[in-house]
Amino acid sequence: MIKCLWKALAGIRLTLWLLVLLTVNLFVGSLYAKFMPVFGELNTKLFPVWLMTRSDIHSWWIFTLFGLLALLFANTLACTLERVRFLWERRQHHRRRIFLLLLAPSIMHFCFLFIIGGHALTEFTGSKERLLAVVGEQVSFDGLQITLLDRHYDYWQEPAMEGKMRQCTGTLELKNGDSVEQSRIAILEPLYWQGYTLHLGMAGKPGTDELPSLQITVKKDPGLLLILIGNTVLCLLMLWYFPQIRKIRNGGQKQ
Amino acid sequence: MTATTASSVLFNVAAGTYAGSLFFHLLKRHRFSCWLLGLGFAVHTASQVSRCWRWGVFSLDGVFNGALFLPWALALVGLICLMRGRQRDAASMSWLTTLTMVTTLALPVQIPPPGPFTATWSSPLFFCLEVLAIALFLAGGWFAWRQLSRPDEDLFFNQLTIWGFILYSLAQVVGAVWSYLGWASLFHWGERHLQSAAIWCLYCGYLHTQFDRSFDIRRKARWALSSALVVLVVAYALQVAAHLTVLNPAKISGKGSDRGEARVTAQEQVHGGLPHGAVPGACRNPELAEESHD
Repeated sequence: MIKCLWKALAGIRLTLWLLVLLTVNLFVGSLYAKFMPVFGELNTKLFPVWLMTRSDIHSWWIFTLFGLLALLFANTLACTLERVRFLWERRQHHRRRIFLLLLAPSIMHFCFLFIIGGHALTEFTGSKERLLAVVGEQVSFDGLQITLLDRHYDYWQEPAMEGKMRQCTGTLELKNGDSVEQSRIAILEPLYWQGYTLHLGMAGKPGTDELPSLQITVKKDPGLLLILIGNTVLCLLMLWYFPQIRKIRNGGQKQ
Repeated sequence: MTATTASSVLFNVAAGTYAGSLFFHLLKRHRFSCWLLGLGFAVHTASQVSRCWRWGVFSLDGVFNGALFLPWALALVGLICLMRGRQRDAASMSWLTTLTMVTTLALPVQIPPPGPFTATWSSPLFFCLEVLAIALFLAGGWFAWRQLSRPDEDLFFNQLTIWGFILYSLAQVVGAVWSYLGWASLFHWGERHLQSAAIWCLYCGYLHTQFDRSFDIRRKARWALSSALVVLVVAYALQVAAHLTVLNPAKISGKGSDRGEARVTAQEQVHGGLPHGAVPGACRNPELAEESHD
């Protein structure tokens, strides 16, 4: 019974079905996200908090999405373990380079598991908070205090872009108990402090004669490294694996 | 002649040359068709390079916009076919190149000006990789369709689709870095990111058909073709439509309108709408607009 279940779980046919269903699910979700702003709040709230406060009948696609991803995780893990076991038992039959080449898809699949795991860590155990930044006003989170001391806007001087913003920077006073420090922050230049990253952004559309309001997104992202490393290794391995395997299949010829 | 004018003139010349390439392809003069495709590609490259100075400063913003860059990428795929001795396939790429060029000429797009959210290497690199991947997916679908209409054992569409998937995955990594730096999140719960994830899953499924023995070459070709049609609608038509002048008249207003400049920001290009970004040039108070402190 367990053997049968394991075999079904490790099947390639299940992988194909799950990927097709995920594709459909994600397209349906993209329509919900386009027309219902409530799903945009997932960008500023952790999933458990959003689930408790904002989910309703229209959130069905998120539950099916997480269900399908969990199944795909299990399917990928089972498939990969099966393949690694199979290759390991025959490792004496291959040269080291060929063995590594054959092992590469399994490493890619482990990278995919890291990516999924990283996203789960971020969505379930991280922290996200968006704070409006007004000059001179102190905002607090997790016992830490931030004050925006000043803000500075640069505009393009070229005639073709006159009046268009080039960059926006600010100076923050960061307080943690008795320790106080000042740091510069800018758009696309986040600040790393006390295990958090602080990102400068803009809060909605500015008025005609007003400067745009600023906001600071405070983020703790425990899955960040897993996702980035997993993605990078996955892409590098793909760049190596596919040309090599094609070369071997063509009998050593490039064409 | 300004960089904008030079770029537009060269773009029109390139479009004409691609059309000529298609004409000779229809006459079955494939060699001449390939020559014109190469010439069009060279002129188009010059147009894209001159576009870098259209704002008066060097900027890659808008250079890799799908409407302008996709025909270039498709022509590049055609030239790669030619380098691999596939003259007829190379000439057939003039179909896709000309059609996308004509679409861009018939429906002009607005190019976003450089803003604070695009001042990073990851922004142009993301668009460049994404459009190259889309070009490979479309070319994969094109050759899959040719495979289905004239069955043989040629797996060229498969190679193009696999390279498309690799570039698309790289684009997702670079895009995630940009998204994290600018919007504090590797994945944004919005239309654009969810659709990108859907396309990635669709092609990931295609890649896995290689390991299912029931998938013969025709079934693979059907998958590659239908996926390319999805990409055509979701990653090309909808993305280009978001920037069409005819569909977005409200975005052209105020100072920039007389020059036909864009009023869309980078995050609109990526996330759609205005999640938390400034509209460039919205502040028209001259005292505030130059360089402001408070």
